[in-house]
Amino acid sequence: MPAGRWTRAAAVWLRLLAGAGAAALAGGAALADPPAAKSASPYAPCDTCHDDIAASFPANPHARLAAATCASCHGDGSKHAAEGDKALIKVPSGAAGAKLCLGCHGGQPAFTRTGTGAHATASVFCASCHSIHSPAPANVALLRAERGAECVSCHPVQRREFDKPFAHHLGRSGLACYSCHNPHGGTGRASLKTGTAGEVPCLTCHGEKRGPFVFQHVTGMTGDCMSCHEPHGSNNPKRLTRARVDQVCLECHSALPAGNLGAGPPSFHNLLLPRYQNCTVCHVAIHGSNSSPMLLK
Amino acid sequence: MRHRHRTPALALLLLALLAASAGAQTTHFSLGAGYQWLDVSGNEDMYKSQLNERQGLALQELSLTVAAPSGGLFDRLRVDASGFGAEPEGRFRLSVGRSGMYDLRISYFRARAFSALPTLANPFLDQGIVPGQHTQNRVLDNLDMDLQLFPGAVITPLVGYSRYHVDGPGTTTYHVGENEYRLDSHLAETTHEARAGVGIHLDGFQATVVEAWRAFHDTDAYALAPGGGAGNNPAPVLGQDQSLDSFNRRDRSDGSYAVTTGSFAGTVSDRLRFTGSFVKTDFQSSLAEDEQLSGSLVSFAIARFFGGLGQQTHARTSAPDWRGAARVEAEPVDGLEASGGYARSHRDFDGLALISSLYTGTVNYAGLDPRNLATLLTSTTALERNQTTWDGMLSTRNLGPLRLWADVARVDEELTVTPDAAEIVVPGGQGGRFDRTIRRWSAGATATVDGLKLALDWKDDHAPDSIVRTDYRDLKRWRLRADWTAGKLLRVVGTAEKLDGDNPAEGIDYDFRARHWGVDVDLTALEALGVRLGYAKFKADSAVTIVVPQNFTLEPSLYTEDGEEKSASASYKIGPVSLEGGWSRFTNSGDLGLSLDRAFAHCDVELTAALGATLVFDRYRYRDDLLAISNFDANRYAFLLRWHE
Repeated sequence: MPAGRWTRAAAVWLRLLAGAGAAALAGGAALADPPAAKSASPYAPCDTCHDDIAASFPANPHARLAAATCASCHGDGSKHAAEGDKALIKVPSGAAGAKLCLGCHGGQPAFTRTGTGAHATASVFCASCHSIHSPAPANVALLRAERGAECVSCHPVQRREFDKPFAHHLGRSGLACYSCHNPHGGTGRASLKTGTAGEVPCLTCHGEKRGPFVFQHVTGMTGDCMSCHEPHGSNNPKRLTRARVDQVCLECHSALPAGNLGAGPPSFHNLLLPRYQNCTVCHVAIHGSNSSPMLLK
Repeated sequence: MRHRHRTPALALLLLALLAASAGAQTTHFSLGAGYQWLDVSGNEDMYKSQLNERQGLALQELSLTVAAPSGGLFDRLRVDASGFGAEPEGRFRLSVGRSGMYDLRISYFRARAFSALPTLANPFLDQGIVPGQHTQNRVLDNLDMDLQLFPGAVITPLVGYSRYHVDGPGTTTYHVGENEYRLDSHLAETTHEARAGVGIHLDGFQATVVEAWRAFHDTDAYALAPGGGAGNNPAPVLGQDQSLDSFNRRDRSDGSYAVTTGSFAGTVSDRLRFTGSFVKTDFQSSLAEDEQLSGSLVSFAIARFFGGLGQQTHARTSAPDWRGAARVEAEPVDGLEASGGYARSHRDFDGLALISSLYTGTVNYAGLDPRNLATLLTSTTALERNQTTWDGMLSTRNLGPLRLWADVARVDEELTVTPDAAEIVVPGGQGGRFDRTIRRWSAGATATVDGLKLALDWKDDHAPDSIVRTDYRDLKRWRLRADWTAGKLLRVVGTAEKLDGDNPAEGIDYDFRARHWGVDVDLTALEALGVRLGYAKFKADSAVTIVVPQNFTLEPSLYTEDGEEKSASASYKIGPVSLEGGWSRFTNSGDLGLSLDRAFAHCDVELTAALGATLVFDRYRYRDDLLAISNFDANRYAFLLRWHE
């Protein structure tokens, strides 16, 4: 790295540290002192016993709601407060808890199917993944665990797919399960998070393959990216579903029997020659072309 | 490149100063950053294709939550960032708002996409020449911003903006003159999307309607790669050597269209809820392409040798698309839930390409009749696709620890394709009408007894017709999951999955199966000591009859995977020191035999209440059983400082 770039990089990081530090110093002993005195707490009288939750709740997104009090979710707690019996207070959980959450969150576009969706049928409800009282959540959206860690605890098969050599980089930097999946609904059984126009999430990053093209291939006609690619990870280069490119192609493009889309007779290509073993050496525009019916450019 | 590094840092600085000036209270702050060193030996291209870490400064994690007194510019601010610098991907998120006034969310994602693989598009692999002829080294930048005004009010206006950009060089090939030539390429694609809408929040009914305007611009530039003029095929064609002396092509694709989306959710009573969504888009694109080349070439299409080609293409596509879905969820009696849904999607697609070509310096195969030759090709394509889905589900949760559910669905697909659109391999009337109906039954059960949670589900799909040859006619899947927790001491999670599919139609004989099973054990013997063990097996086999192109004989296309993964890790905390180490081995003895060994060791020391330091070592060892030239070893060493409040 040239010296100039070192200097610039160092300057950026120093600014970052200084800026964040200013915010930290401005807060002073904020962690130790709740923003409001106990006597004025909107969480009285619950904070008499649950002082830890009351102290941290102002940082919770739910605290933004002017009408948000303990009773908003837990109902009338006067008997519980008087007698201290846990059975006398409503603790939203399971399906009933999800209903309560959906009372406010249900109108968001992402919540297309929550009450009886795939997660709900597996007895996975809001509180399974979200920590409502968490003062310093490990992640955005009050998630209980680091990005994606909750998902893979129930989906270890999918986690192991990311351990294959040709895989999306899950977890350590930018990508998370919910980059492509919508756990609250989504499209199809995989609960895919579609783009604004309903496209598969692959096209959010691989936009140059979106088209529409005059000469479409699979996407936009039938099937989708997953017809040829493993979305999480694969043993095969380019996350293909097959080890050899020619087999990916010929399994659809073989004229047996007639009647299937794309099952035209293949050209007289001699697959014994290396130049024909990789179909994409010539059919380079394999995702679609505007100028070549045979996807040659 | 410089502004890409600087923008997130400046944004953080600005926000932090705003927080300070607002008298804000930081309720959560952590920053982990440092420097990492790399030691890579072996195939560096393969390393970058798989991992693509770099040596240098790295932001491991930044998280900042700020609560401010009400009445200021904001009363809540949350910033998260990770991965910028030496890591291949980075993400920045900002969520800031003031109760009742606004809610602003900004996210930025940056990724480096590198690919230079030995086996991909490589006709010279047997000569030891790597990588293949298709490579790329691109940078992706995605920015999303959404602002909601007056959150919590009955009417909440929404505005948003997104920008997706991918840019970078690569290499590719071009088939012209009965040969393939290596090209250098450069892609720059930008999509802008602005949106505005409104949310409606009534008691028991919520809806959102958003109108978006999207525009994209894509530029691809190609030129003959140095040394690429000889092509991949050294043999003369019709007795004449083929070569390319010069090549330049520039493609410009543009498109702009509107996207209308809507969603709603409502409750009639505590026992009845309904949801729905709608998307309508008029996808459009246009292309202008200019290509100029010269050399000594032959064209079977015009049955002549030629010395140059100038080609202009103008193309236009239109693809109006809409999809809608509605769903009702009911709980007729306590513990019994029922839901039903309907979804329909429709796409009309029309494409037109006008390709004008001027072949210069042509002669016939006998070397006679010299002249220039112009051709004009008009090609139109069209398809119409409809899909309708009905589904219904019943579930019960009033059987003690047992929960049962059953689901039935029917999917009708209709596809009408003009012959042109289907002629990817060889021209020849491959269009037509294709219908497929899938009937799906699925059911499952979950049971929770003390610390044991069991889940079993089954799915059976049946489709009497197939559209493409790899469509299944029957697909069956079984999944079993057991999760046993013994207090804080032990957690054991076991999973098993069985998948069988086929299409027994004569001449297809498609058959595939997959098996996965695995077990993970978390043992916390002491509060300070944790151990994790994992083991998994997976196996996949598929076969489908294909036509061998060179002699038109039939043979099965076989594909197998036979994999195993073992892993172990442990963590130990003693005073201010935390130690963590682990190892895993992944092997596949299927078609592409390979092994991956990973190991890591982290040592974390709390220097003060707010400051810590971490030493990191990661090892990654890739071995290809058949192609030793792919192998590499990579070690990563990092020193990180963590500051947290």
